[in-house]
Amino acid sequence: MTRNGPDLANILETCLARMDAGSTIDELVNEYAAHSSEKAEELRALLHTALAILPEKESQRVPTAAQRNSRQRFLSQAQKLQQQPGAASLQRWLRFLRFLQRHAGSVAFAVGAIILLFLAFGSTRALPGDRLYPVKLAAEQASNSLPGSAAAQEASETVYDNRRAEEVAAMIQMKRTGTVSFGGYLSRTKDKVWQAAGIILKIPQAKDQQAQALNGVYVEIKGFLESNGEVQVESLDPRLETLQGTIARIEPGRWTVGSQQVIITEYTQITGTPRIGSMVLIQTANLENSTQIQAITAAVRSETITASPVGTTTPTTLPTFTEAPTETPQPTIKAKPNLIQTPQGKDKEQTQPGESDDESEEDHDGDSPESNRSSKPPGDH
Amino acid sequence: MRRQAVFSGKITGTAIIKINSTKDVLLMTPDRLLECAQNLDTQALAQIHDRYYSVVYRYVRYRLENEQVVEDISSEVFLRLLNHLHRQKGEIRDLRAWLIGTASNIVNDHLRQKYRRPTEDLEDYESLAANDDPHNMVEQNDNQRAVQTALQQLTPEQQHVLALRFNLGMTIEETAQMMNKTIGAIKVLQFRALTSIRKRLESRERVR
Repeated sequence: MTRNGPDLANILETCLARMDAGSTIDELVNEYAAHSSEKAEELRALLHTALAILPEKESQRVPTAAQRNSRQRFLSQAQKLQQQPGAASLQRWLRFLRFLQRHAGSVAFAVGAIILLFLAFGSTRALPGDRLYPVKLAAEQASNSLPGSAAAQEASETVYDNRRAEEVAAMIQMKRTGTVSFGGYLSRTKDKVWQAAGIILKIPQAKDQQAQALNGVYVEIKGFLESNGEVQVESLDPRLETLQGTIARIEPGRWTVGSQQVIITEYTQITGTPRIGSMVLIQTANLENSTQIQAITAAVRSETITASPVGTTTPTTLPTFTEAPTETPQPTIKAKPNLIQTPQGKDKEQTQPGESDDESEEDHDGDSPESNRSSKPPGDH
Repeated sequence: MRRQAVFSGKITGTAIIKINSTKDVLLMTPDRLLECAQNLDTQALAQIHDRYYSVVYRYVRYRLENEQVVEDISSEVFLRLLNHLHRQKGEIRDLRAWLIGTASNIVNDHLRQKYRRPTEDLEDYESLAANDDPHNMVEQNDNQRAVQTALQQLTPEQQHVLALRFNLGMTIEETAQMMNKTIGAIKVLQFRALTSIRKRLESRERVR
């Protein structure tokens, strides 16, 4: 091709289109020569060649006989194929396969969705130990992880908790044995029988003290359901929730954090020195038939902060509680300023009631929360 | 050059369409027609043959001289379509493009075989009409033969582009779509093909 090939190729195409519209070769070449006389003759030759290769009228005529023969042959062959045994069903299968091939992604998705739907539906009655039981749990988990309000999620969690207990009850009825996991308020009957969600628990001696501590608390139980319908407890954990806020009031066996009353028992593990205005992080457990909550652990941060609503550390414009300068530790304890900032309770001795000059509210109560502190942890916590 | 409407489209479904009358078939779009043909419906197949035979024949005729071979190849194109539909080999997106593409392949195969075993076609010498001026007729036939020879000496792709543009009257865009190339590439291909023919014809003139 010449160096001007691509340009000439474009010009050629333009000229062909104009010839098609009625322009003559001379007109086109003259027009082009005004711009570039050098290639005008080449263009002329190409346009003449284009005219020369246009088909003759004779070759455009389609022989009727040829068309008729071809049609006959074509339809006769089609008829033969139609008459082939199983041709129709084979075609249907092939068509179906082609459909699958074309829509492989959509088909796989639809099949997957149907299978999941059937599995989820079929697993609703599955009990622990059944093959479909993990599917049931996964479906619940997936459903719970869908976006929704906190209240709705809490409601669905309650439904699932009840379902676990019902599953164990169903297994007891069916006299089945196996590993179970469920939740319920731990209680002890007059006959000293432990139970949760109406299911009798066999708590080993080693966990008895823990059970005592969690009496009345909502616990999550893992164990083995025995043939006599009792669950041999392997683990017993309180379902904990976290509450963060400022201590507004300290009473014997009870703190008010923000506006929420929290029960402090001898089993509550307290770290730090609780004071009014102190920030506290409490792990709580739900109590049966009570709107109150019980503290399992309470971590008090030494610094006081602005009084704030329950469960939030957002500073407010309310007056703040700050320790007076006179409340500083006794001069004999050199490390006191540092110890105050230590979140964990190495400073316990310095803040024991009666041993401090602290004039703060809790000291006046006479029954300070420190008296509730116990070195005995509530079970494993 | 002539312009023709393009029947293009995509076959999207495999629904079985019941044909009630010949009129239905005549009014069908190429896509619907092809859907019916996939069930080997006789009316639909006949309609496809009626609609596209002339296009296929003219394409093949432009590239080959021997009328018998042209007829055979044109017929073969439709038999291959039938085979394709019957075996459900794959989707046909544009029926006309498929038919011309198949015709092009068969013609290329035929030419390859012909070059391997060259034979003289008696028919090439039989087109002299008895009542015409022998001198003019001979010269005209010579010119036609020279053009035809020059055409056949092009590459298959160049022959294809000229057949689509100058014989079937396709636009540059339609040609590009059918050959799965850019418009620029088609323009260059066409330019090269015409230049090649021009050079061959000029060298022939010089020899004479």
